[in-house]
Amino acid sequence: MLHFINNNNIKHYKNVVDIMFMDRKHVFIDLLKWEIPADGTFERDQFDDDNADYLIVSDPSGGDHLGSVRLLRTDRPHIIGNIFPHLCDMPVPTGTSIREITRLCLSPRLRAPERRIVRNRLATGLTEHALLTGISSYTGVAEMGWLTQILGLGWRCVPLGIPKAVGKSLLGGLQIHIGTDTMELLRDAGTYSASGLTYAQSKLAA
Amino acid sequence: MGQALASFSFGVQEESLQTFRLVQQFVDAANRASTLQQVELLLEQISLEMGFDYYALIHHVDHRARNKASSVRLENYPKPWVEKFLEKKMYSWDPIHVASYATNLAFAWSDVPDMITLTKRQQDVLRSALDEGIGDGITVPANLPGEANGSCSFALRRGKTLRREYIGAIQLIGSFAFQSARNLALEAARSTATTGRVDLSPRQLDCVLLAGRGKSDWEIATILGIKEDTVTQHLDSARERYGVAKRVQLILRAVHAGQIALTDLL
Repeated sequence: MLHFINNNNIKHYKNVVDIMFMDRKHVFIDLLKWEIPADGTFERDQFDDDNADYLIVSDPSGGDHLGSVRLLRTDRPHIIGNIFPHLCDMPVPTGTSIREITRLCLSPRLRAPERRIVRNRLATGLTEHALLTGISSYTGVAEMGWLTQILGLGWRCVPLGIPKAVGKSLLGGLQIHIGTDTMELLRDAGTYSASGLTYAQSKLAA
Repeated sequence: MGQALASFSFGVQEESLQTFRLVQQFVDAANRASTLQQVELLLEQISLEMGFDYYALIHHVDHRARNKASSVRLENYPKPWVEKFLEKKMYSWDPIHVASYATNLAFAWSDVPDMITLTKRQQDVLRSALDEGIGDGITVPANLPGEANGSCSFALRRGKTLRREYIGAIQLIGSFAFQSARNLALEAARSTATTGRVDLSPRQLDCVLLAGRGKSDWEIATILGIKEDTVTQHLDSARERYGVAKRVQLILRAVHAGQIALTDLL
């Protein structure tokens, strides 16, 4: 099950959202050693506010967090616009129809084949969400070690600048254009995976 | 002095913007390419524009076997080198290939001795390439779970100096070129063959995982609470799915296919 979670319905998802913040701490701080603030148990930053949206894949039986992304508006402060604008060798793409994908996190409890399924479900869900709500493209900062896999998902992607070394990582800005053909591109690449996207009580017409 | 510095940094910035424009044009064209020949032309063009003499976009498989419809080999290395490379099956231990499995980031060939410990055989490959006039280069690894490993490289003639500031741009060019070629090859394979990916059933996967941790059929049976015969059957049919005979091959294939991760086995 893939849940769209925003300020309106987050209170109904407290459990899975808390596990997401714990998994984010585990993955980004403990495993990937990102230098970002954490309060010991949860990884949450200034962008996890009322304006943040989340897409969360949860385990239908136990409600466990399996994977998630955070979506930020680009007409407000966001990661590439405010923290890494130098990753863009062109104006930072902003606007009401562009969202930034941040904090892509897969549960550390998943094994390799499950990781692939959850990742595919997120990619499919991101595309469905964009098509349903009029989002024309996603931007994001990516660790270049993942570039082959991001492109391998099949969607139409372009770089926003030459990748640059940040700490020990090589980071680059990317833009993913979503159109009516994106689903087919995902299907051709073997990425498409029925996401079960639901907007329950988010006050967002689906 | 301040002025000199300002004009210097302006020059650097200007150059990096120009490089990015080249990358953008390449990515747009690669995303639109409808044949592998077009991708090859683009590689040829961008090599020239960035001052490289050679390019090679390849899947690391035995390209003399023609049954692999979905594998790609686009390159313009000197012919004698390519023949020697394939003839002696150097792709199996080519240090550049081996280094490309150790990272997903673009790297300079001159850094390979710092990335992996070179065997004598591997030093011979590098010497051999140099003899054929191939000097330093940059390789972008392209490793996807469940698919043959690949890479996209750009290289210089012997004696020329590598411009390391291009590594970021080459990372993009190589990755986008590879994706475009992979897409076109997959498309071609879909229309001619039926070779799809092989997945193991969840129960087979449980057995293979435990086998990979060194458990015997009897131990696996005990852990999973099923009969030993059933475990043997699961492992037999898993071997059959991959078309391999041995337990070790089965485990390696499952790891290579991304069905189990190496960390699952530890």
